[in-house]
Amino acid sequence: MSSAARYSSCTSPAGTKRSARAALVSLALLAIAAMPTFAAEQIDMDAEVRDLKADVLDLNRELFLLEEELLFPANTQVAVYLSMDTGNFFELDSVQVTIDDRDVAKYLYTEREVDALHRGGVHRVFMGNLKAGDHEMVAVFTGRGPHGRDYRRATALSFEKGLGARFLELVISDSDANLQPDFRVKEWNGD
Amino acid sequence: MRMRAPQKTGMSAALALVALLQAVATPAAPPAAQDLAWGETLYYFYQQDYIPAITRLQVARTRQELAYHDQESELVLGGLMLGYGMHRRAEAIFQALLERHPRPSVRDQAWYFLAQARFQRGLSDEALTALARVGGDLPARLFPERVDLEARALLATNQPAQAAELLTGHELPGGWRFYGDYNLGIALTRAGHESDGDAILNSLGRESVSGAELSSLRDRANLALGYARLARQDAAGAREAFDRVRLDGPFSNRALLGAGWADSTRGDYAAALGPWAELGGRDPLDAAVQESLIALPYAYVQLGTPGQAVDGYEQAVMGYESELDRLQLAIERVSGGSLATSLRATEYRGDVSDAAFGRYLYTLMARDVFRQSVSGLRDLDELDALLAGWQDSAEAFNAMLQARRDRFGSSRDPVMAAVDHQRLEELEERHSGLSDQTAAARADRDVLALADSHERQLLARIDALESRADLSGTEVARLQRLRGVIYWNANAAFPARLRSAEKSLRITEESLAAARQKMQRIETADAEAPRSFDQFEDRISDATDQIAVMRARVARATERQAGLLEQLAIGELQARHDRVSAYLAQARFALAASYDRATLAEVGQ
Repeated sequence: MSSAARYSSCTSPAGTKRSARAALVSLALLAIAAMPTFAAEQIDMDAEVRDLKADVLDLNRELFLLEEELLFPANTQVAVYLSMDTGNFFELDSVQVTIDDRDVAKYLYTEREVDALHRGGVHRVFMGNLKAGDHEMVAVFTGRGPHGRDYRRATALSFEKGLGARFLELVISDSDANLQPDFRVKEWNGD
Repeated sequence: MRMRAPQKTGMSAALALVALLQAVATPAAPPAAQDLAWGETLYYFYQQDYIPAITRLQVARTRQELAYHDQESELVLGGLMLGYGMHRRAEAIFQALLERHPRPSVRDQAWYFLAQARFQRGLSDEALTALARVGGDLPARLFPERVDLEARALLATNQPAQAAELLTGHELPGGWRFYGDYNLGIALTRAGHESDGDAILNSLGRESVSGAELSSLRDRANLALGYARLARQDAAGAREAFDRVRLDGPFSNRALLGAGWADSTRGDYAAALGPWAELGGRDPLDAAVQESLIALPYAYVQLGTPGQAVDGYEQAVMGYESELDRLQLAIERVSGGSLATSLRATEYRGDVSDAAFGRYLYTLMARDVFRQSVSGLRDLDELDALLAGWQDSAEAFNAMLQARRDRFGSSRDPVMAAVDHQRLEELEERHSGLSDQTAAARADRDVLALADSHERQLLARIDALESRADLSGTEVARLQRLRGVIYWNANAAFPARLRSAEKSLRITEESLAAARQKMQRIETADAEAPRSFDQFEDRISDATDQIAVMRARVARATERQAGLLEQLAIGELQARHDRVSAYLAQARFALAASYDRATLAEVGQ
């Protein structure tokens, strides 16, 4: 019996008492009956959303491939990535990349992104096209260095772009020897 | 009533499962990613940004970019799909992988985390099926969690006796004991063993605990105990349990209402006034507070103070009428389609400022089924945003492709004009002749074949002079000596000249080969470019069609999901409306009865 029926049961005539109780019981039943129907519909809906997710992900993969093949053909493709280790001596704020004196990327990192980098994630900072030949890349990192001071460092690399794709990884690591962050560029062969 | 387990590390079951499988799959893996594509996947994965993470990993697998991390990539793909709510696909991956995993402890942990993931999705039966696959090799640290999970799944599937049997058979360590006791008390009560359940809940309700989580658990135990005792007409015991619930905790309203019931059940209406009056000053949306509006004058009636009862009923009627107006307005706003818009505006948190239904939304958001429904809407909106982005990109792809076609068309003629096969063949023939001569000079040691131009001129002059008839014997001998000197010098220089000539021929050969290769590439590109443009055009066209089809599907699903949300919200609001209407009817009836009694009393006097 609903608690609401308690208060009327002592004060109302018998007929009213029965009808009030019956009304409340029927309302409760309605509520109970409505929920499983809704839950079943939501379960069905969840399945539809799952199917859609799978189909959209498949299409997304195809479009991702199409975009890269169209915009960045393998023979001219150049990509710059950034990775970092635990970051005891450097807290990354941003990175700016120039290739052949042309600004190609500037990225400001969120706390969440930096955390993902610390856990082994690698961020693609730039993807573009370069002709075969000699090029120079300069990356400028800003953030907090040892003792929480503002820190700005640059690293450069002269590289030759051949016929295949070229990948460069900006690696930020802790140098335990001099208690300073270390910045270097690792070259990957994309052929 | 079910309880949540103690707070874990914050890691979802999907993340925990991936972490476990990664750890066992690559025990010697260095911390740095060995494949860039793998690192990119992790970058998104650790931000729980599932769409780019899954896409990047799938692309990496398609392109075979995972030389080092290939083995674990399938596990992580399963974990990502689990995290993104694609349970069936994820579980198919895991089951296939787990069945062939050699370590029983890994299999047991993986089944446990799968069970946890299923339970979190409300799939309690499926969670129990997964738990049944957990053998005896689960690490000891996970044992209490496993018992807790199984007990909750048994309670969720209406198997209280089995839950009670499970919990009775295991002594849980630390904070888990309190959760185990709570669930055991509930399970025993629901299984019909009221006195055993009472003893367990009573003991837990008297525990000295610290911290918000355990204090809240103790409140819940006392609340459950109070209502269970009230149902058994043990009003004194119920009041004792309700009194132990903190007045500032989340269960205090229901405890105060129950305390009033306990007092009125014992006939102590004066005592019931205390908790019910206290409720009158609390959140008017709370069901217990709404009920107290009618409970309080009821107590006054029983105490024989009709004046206060009439005041109370009048206030109750006004309060209920105002609430019904607000509910009606909220129902109209939700019916008008405002709900999905408001949810989107608050990034699906539900903290809308709309006065009409914002105040009710937070209670809806507390319900699993509603949150699940909101989550579905958010996922669909995210899919649509993704597809809309691709739709714009596809238009740009077409423009770019056309520009590339135009550029190719305008630069083709001058480039192809430079491709002179005849000239190249002539050069190759000359190179071939020179190569033959050099080879012959080497074979015959023909030192004069490599004589330099000065030597050749001298030899030619000697030949001319020797052909004259008027030369003296001394002059002939002198010319012979000169020829001998030239031969001597050419002979001395022959090895170096031969090396130099052969080197020059090699360089020339390489240059000619490079020129031929370049010409072939240009010709190949010339032949392939139009075909490649056509292929891209076809792919873009197919993709554009697919995007349109998919967006239409997403739009239909979004409409349906928004409709379901609306239906749920209206159902909830309507249920409130019905409840308050029932209270109002009773309040009006009681008010009329109070007036009648007052009139009769006056007539009697």
